[in-house]
Amino acid sequence: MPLPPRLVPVNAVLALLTANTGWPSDLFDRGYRLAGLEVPASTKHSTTRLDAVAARGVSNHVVVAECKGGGNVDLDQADKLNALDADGIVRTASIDLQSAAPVTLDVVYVCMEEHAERIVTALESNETPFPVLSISGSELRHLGAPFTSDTLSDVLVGTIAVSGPPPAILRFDDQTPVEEFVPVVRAELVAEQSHRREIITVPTLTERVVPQYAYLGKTVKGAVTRRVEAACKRISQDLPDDFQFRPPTGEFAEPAVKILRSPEDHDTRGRTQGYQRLARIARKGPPKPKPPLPGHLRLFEELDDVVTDDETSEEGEA
Amino acid sequence: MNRATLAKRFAEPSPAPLKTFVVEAHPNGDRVEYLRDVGADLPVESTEDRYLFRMGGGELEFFVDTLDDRFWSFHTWSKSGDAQTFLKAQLESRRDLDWMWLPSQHLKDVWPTADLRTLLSDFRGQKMLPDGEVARDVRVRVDGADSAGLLKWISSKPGYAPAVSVDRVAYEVDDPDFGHTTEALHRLGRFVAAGDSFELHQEIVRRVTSRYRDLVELIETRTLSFEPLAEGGLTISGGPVLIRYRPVPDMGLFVDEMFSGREPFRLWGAPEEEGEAFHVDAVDLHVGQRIAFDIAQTWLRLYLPQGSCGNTAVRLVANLQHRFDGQVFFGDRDLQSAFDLLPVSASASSGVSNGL
Repeated sequence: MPLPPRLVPVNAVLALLTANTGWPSDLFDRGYRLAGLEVPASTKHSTTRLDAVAARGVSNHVVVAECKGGGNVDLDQADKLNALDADGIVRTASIDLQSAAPVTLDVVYVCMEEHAERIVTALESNETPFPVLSISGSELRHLGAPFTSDTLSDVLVGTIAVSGPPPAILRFDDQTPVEEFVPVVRAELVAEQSHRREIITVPTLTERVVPQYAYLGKTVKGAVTRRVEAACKRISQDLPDDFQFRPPTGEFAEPAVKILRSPEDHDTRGRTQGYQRLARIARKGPPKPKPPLPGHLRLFEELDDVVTDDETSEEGEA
Repeated sequence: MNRATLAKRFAEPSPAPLKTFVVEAHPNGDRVEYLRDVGADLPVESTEDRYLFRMGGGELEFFVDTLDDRFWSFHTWSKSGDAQTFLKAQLESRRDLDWMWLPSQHLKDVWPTADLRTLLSDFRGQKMLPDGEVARDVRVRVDGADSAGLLKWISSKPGYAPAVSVDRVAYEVDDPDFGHTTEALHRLGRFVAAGDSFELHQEIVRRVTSRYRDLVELIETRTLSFEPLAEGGLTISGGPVLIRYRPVPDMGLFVDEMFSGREPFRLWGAPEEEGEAFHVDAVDLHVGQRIAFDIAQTWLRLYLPQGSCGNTAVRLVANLQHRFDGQVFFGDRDLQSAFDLLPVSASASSGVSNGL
């Protein structure tokens, strides 16, 4: 499942901060490390959440990335970011400072290439001209205002070649549709089959599929759980001989998936074939049900279409 | 019955050599109960050594050393075939036992004074490489004092280096402090030994196991994990494990074989094509754990969730060595150092070698 555009910017930031992912790690290489995601911050306007915060401890430099999947700029959020207090971020993100120098801050908008010009224009019109980092399938490109940090300028000004999308470190959010959960939930259920387990609850599955689940807000948790539950129902419909969705009942408060059989029940050859059957169905979807055989009356009536009156009328009949 | 009993038996003339199978075990709770479960119909007895157990008897008898809490040694003088068949059946039917999957590099230098005498390189690329490749299947056995020399020569021939992959080795080992042993070692962590020093044999097993453990545990530090920040928000540690290899000539063949569910990969998955690459939400059927892959023409990313077993990544790389590219390597310099048995944080990241 390709990484959806709304999750590309945050994963691009994470990739730049992580070594050895097959994507450029220029920020990591220059000493920047991830300090946090969804970090709360207060400004003179109010409070907000920062999508991603990175820091370079040796120079006391903090970078806040506002990750935009689309082209709309929330001007209220831009005003808040413009009023951020670097010292406050150091405290809330528990950043370790290693220099006696004052803390400096850069805010950068990270977006898809097709929205970059629009975002630059919107930020300039709002008099919050932040630097913008655009992402395409082949490069990262700096637009808009310059960076305040020389190190960050060295790394990000100009273009950085990339090959394809960034690694999918953050794969799911509250907007992820059910169909994107299906292959992951299905793999979890096959893993359960391999252990010969008999049942797994939807909350347990959700925690496994979305590793950051425990740290999500209550509303987001609910949305994600409902989609995992919908994925379970869909998989149970596709593989009715293997899995059965069990809704909550008086006895069992949590929805669950019952595992009806496992390839592990067979000998070595049968086991491998059993797993291969599951993979074939996962690739193609469930086999189409065969249409029911027509009864004899339907076939008899069909004769009306294959035999014309001319053929059956007796010669010389009046 | 204790280790001294084993040492005495090892040193006595015997029609059958000692076999030691090293198995990664994840017992939940009491070792005796766990071994009884693993042993199925075989009786399990404690010995004078609380870490040493006797399993079975008569035709099939193991002495199980659990002193290493993760990699257990199953010693046996029973027939190799019987012992292997029994352990293989247990490992295939359970998700909490696995073999060691020694990379080619880990079969070298098993002891400072070891003399390499026999070496088998076994590369089977037929299922992942299309017709027309220079070397799809290469099996070479060399017996002699310069066993590695011929393989180096073969590796120097254009197109042959990726098809050289060490499967088993035999060493003569004389140690002034321990004594003598002849050791044959297979890449799945199976040792066959004869000599006058069980202690030396045990130390060789421990040395091989220990450096394998270092690699496995280093990979486990790279698994993807999420932690909350004190004031709100969260942070991430780890990331995908990057594995690099020669350009894949036929991506369809490559992913079909890897995710066929068959030995040796035993990965289940339905690859989804994304441009020139594939994404797979897979299951490692050896341990029954979900893992995700991004697979491109010259590299793959392995997303190991928190708590994953590092053996998953090592097994994949070791099997790629024997099925696709003998020069496969980790993108992470430290992992490659542990893979190549070099000091961590001291090697070049290119790391392309067959371990010869």
